[in-house]
Amino acid sequence: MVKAVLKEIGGSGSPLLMIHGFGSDSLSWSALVAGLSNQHRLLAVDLPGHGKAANEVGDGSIATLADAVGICLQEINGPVHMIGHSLGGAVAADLERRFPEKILSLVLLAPAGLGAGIDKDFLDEFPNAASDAEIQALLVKLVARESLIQPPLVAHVKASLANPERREALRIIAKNLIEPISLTPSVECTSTIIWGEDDKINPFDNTTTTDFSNSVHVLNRCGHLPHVEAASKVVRIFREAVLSQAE
Amino acid sequence: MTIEIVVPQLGNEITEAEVTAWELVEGDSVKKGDFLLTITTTKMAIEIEAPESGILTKILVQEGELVDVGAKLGEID
Repeated sequence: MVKAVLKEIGGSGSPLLMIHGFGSDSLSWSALVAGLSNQHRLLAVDLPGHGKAANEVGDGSIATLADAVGICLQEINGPVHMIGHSLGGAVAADLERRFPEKILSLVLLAPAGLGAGIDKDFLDEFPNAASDAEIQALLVKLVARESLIQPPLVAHVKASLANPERREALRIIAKNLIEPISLTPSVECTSTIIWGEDDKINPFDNTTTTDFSNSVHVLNRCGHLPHVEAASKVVRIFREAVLSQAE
Repeated sequence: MTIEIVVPQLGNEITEAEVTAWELVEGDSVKKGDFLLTITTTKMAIEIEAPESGILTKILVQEGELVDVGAKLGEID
């Protein structure tokens, strides 16, 4: 069975479920915690094949990953706000379409399925990266400021790739991300989209977002990781999205 | 008024971080929201912004030192 792992990150208030991107894990949300934990019970998943989750990923499709996160959603009491990044954005959008009654608001950070498409070389090379130098070279593509890629992150990624089953799980998911992904906007919940204007992994393309959301925020000095590179802006936009949803 | 710069909450699994680099030196003036320093957890690098405008009067934790979540990193007056 394909399973995700649900983690309590901290805070109290209405639940906010955060879904990370390809090759990442639930620890990637650290920079948002201080800004959101006074108003939300923060929860995050490790997607199948990531973090503390097992390496069984089935066909590795968005729908299969969303099924796994859907089980986590059942464990949370009441509806949730959701933030999804990249791969996690496509998973979040799929869940919102399928379980609109469980989702209060949806914020998507450079989601797969929108934008110019995820860099094929990155998807091919990440599951096979071996040396510190190879991992570092891949990770710097994610950000506008290389100072955000420090040795602990390289070591963390290297350790996560130590298991050959983990690498295979990521290859299976990567194959799905190379193919076009279709995201369907729903009418029940108006989503908010945030994108870094310097995103080199899934470059912004406004022709893909206009039909999906009328709240699109493109951030300067920001690459593929708005929740890391522009955390305070993401917090502000998220709060506005939650307030407008409540009106 | 003295404003403390502290290590922010980073989530249940993260209790400490290392000061990676200060962007300013003591005596520099800062505006609220300016990028002050980078800290690094077991995984992520995080940029800390100035909580208020003023003068960075004290740097209490030097680059390379480990600090707990909630610890005071410096002061703005």
